[in-house]
Amino acid sequence: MWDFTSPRKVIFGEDALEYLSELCFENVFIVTDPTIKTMHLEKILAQLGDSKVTVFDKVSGEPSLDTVKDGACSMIEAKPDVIIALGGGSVLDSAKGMFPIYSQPDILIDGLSPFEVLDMRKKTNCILINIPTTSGTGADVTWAIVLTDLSEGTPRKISLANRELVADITILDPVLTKTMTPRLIAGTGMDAMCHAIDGYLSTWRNDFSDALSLHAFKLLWNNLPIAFEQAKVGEVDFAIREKLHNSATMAGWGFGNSQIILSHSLAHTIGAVFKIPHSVCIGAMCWYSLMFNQNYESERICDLAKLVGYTGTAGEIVTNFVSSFKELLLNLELPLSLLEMKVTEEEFQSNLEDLIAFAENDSGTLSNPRSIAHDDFITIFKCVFEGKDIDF
Amino acid sequence: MINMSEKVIFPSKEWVAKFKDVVNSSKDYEEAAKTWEGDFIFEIIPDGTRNLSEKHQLYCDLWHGKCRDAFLVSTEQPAPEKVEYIYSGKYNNWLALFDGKVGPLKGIMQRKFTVTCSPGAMARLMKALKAAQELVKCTTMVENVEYI
Ligand SMILES: NC(=O)c1ccc[n+]([C@@H]2O[C@H](COP(=O)([O-])OP(=O)(O)OC[C@H]3O[C@@H](n4cnc5c(N)ncnc54)[C@H](O)[C@@H]3O)[C@@H](O)[C@H]2O)c1
Ligand SMILES: [Fe+2]
Repeated sequence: MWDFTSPRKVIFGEDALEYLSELCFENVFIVTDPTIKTMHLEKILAQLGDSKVTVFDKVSGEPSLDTVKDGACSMIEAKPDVIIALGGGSVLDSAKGMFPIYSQPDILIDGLSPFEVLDMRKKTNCILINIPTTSGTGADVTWAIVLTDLSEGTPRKISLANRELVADITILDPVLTKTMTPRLIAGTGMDAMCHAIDGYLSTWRNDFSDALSLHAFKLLWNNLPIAFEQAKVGEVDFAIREKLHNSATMAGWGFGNSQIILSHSLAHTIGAVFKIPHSVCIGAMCWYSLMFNQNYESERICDLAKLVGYTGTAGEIVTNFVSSFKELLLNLELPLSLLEMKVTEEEFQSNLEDLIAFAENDSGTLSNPRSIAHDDFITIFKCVFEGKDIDF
Repeated sequence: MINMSEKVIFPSKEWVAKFKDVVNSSKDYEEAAKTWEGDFIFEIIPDGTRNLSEKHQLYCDLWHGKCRDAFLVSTEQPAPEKVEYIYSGKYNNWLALFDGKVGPLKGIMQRKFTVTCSPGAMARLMKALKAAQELVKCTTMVENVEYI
């Protein structure tokens, strides 16, 4: 038995935000961050009529468990009948983390079980609407939340999951992506592309996730470089932005109903330990993950490559695709190594043991198509540090 | 000393003794579980597969990379009153797990297994996936097993 979980509704395209005015809420709780509050909050408020609105805008990048607990306290006080999460993955994950605490204040959020019946909606009469402002994480449709746990010395990203965390409605309006910088477009777009690849290669893949992962990958591969180049010269083509925004959510559906792999184990680990934003490091980690897995999943990597026009023998296709992937990262001006992400040799060496322990226990390692031994991780991390090819 | 080449029946006292030995000689498990503290009941529920007719419970006390104690729960040897984790599944699913066809976490997602524990214990378990995987690997390393 397997589940395919999805929001009840996905509203997308031009003017999608206007859908909010068709709904009727008494008491709205908006979760956002300070940047998005300045850039886009007005657009949401304009749709809410005379509903009572409380805004929690204290979400920071790569949020911690403490941010979630803090927001949940305000939520409990406000007693909303709708939570609107407006922002990137950090905001969406925070709101998804606050909702279970709102429904059950004594819940141990870091002990959230994927199998527990939470009955959040029944207990609160509240629903969750996600409105992503980056075209990246797909967190608007996944049932996982990634939070940083600061309680045990070295910061560590933990993934919590429960199918009730999936939003009721997700709204994809490309107008919100207009303000994204070229760097944010590149990084979050590569996060989405990595989700499509992970969802397709993971050992938890299935017919439903395959369909979404493949199409999302094709849209991202074809549109991300164009959106990036356009953004660099201040151009916004909403047709292209819409493709990216939709495909990020589709990739979220794909990997959210399959799993992540090595790429995300590495990105979660270095992201938390060295405080590198997910969007900055995930593209490169996807490249290392492709190199490590290429001889074990060549058929599936070929499927992806053929979709975007690669031809030749299976061996040629995989080799050319993996090297084009590196080129894509370079074209998008993303860093390839920890050195380029400004991590020093000393920082790397002194944290290596924790890096390996955290990566070994990340769920992406468990569902990677090739099993990863302790010594493999030592070599992989050394390559990641220096920016070297993985050739074993 | 346990004779590994001797045939054992699963589930049985002899199998549990061999399993404990495998766990305690596994360097990979020791490394992955070096900070682990927590005991388990592994529950095998009959489902018409082969000839298993009764529910079996295997108690395992796992501590800092070692298995301190393991036995088949019975009226003569009951499990301690408070056991942190109960990992339960039908016999057929256990056989698939031993065969490497089902992973410890995916098996739970597929409802092939259930875990019962406190929320705090669940948080610790989710951070110890490698140890769980190595422990499952140990079950596949018990040699000469004849399944009931
Ligand atoms: N739950 C999941 O399934 C999942 C999947 C992948 C990543 N994540 C998590 O998501 C987080 C990263 O999310 P993210 O990459 O979307 O970035 P983010 O939410 O951290 O935002 C990054 C920065 O971009 C700004 N920003 C967001 N939208 C903008 C816009 N439209 N215009 C201008 N600036 C904008 C934000 O204010 C912030 O300063 C990480 O914590 C990561 O672990 C979760
Ligand atoms: Fe991601």
